[in-house]
Amino acid sequence: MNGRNTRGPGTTARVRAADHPAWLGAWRAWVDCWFRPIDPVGLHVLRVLAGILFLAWLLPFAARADGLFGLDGWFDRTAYRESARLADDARSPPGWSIVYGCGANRAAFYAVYAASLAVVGLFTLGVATRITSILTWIAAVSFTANPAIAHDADALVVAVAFHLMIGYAFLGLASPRSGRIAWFGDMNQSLWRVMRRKGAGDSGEPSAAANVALRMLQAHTVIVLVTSGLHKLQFGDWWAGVALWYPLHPPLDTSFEEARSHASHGIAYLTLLSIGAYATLAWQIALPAFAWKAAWRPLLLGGAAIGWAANTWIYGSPLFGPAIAVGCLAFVTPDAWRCAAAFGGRLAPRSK
Amino acid sequence: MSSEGESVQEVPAWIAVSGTVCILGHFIAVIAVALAAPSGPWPSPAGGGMSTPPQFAYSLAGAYPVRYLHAVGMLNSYHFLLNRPALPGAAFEVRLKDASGNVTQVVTVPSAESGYLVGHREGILARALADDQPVEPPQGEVIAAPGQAVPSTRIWEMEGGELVLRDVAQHLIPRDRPVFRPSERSLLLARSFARYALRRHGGASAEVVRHTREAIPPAVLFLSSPPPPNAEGVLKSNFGEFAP
Repeated sequence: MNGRNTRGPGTTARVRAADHPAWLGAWRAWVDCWFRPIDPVGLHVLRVLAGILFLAWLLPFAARADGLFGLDGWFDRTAYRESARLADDARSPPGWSIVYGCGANRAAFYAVYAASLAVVGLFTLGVATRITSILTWIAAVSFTANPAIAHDADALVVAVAFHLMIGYAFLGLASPRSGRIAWFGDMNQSLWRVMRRKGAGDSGEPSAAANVALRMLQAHTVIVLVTSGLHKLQFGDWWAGVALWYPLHPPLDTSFEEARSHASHGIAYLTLLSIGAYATLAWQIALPAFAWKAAWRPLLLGGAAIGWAANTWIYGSPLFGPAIAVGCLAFVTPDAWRCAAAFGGRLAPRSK
Repeated sequence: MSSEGESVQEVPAWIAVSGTVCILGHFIAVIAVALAAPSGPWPSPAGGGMSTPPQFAYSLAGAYPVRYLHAVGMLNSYHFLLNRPALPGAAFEVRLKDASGNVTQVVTVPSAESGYLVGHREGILARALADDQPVEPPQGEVIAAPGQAVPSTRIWEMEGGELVLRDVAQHLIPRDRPVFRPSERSLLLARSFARYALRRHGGASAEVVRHTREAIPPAVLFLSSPPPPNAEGVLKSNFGEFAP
């Protein structure tokens, strides 16, 4: 555990297989891939980005939070009871939430809501991350449980919180340390401090927990995007290349005349949309082929950035793009994060 | 698990083995649930229909994945609604009435006054109310059991320019046109939001009226003449009145 290892999860495992049976080589490659201690800087960066995302998602609901999430809200207690009897919901029952414990008590609900925001804020700042990561995950699950407003992106938010929790729950446990740090995690893992440590993790050591968390988030991101890409192939409009036409012309907000405003250049317009649709399918379905290759990382991150913009402005889905972007950033190696930090440091104005 | 050569294996063997079991168990659950989703709609002689999921995935998902992923808040098949291109546009209004039946206030969802993120969630709720299901009339004649009524089904019927819900005996379900009914889930959501609106704004009853409009197909780009004026109408569907 003493040597510094900054090879990231995206690098190829190198295992010397000579003199060993094939299964042992495969096992060592597996262990090297998943459990090799790495510089946890990537985990810290994702924590900050995900924390900002969680806050940007939760804060705007403040004025209507009890209606959105409470048991006297849009989906009330009676609805939960009735939902349990629906045959369609037998295999996907409504999720659990800590706010259910508040019942109809509005003050208690808002206390829990404020505490959740505080916990997410502390986690983002890097305070007591062993505890705040778990509480952040509980908050993410709790505020995505309402089936009336369940959105595709909610599952991605919980997935990001879950994998960060895996990383921080075990980060630094391998080394002996004071009881306070062992229980709560390092009390100050602010990104500024982590970046300045030049390779230091929780206590200046590479971490297998960071590797496991980032690997799991990588694999989960690939499963989500490939499954979603294959699901798109079940619809003729994706094959026809016109799938992007529909979110660009939302039925309640677009008149026929507005839709026909592109008629003068209809062929070119549909050609552009079909290229966009097929590029989306190709990026999603081929993701496993290039996501782990360093040379193709610009395609991975560029695709995530374009997807973010498209989800926000075309689909009007504010959460989906950033959640996918966080998942794709899990592929960035610690060395790349350090280079980016050094580059940023050179650009930053120096005080005399 | 000592390191040898270039292999870096610095975690104890028991951690690697137990970690491997957990990782494999987790991803088997995620993949099983993703595969255990119905697919479609696919074309069939009887019209578009959903196909059942593969049996191995369905059986496996029922073993532990559903319970496990539900517990960790990650129960999702990743068959996203956003992937469905030609969804109808949907909104709804709740007409709050006093004891005399007069409309005192109308709550519109999604509301222009809601912020971007709350409006987005309101849009999701409105779309969930537009989840109509086709109703297949029974193939044979339905005869009631002795002393009992013929089973009935709640369907949408056009009345006064809007769709209303009617309980129709199964043998009287129209066979000369497509027939639809609201899903149980959309009825549940309509009732629940009506109760919420009554709690929040007050009133003796609340009437929920859905507004939907079919997606505009890209073929409009190549029409030789503009479509008829009634082609872009908004369809109103009245879920009825609900008391607190």
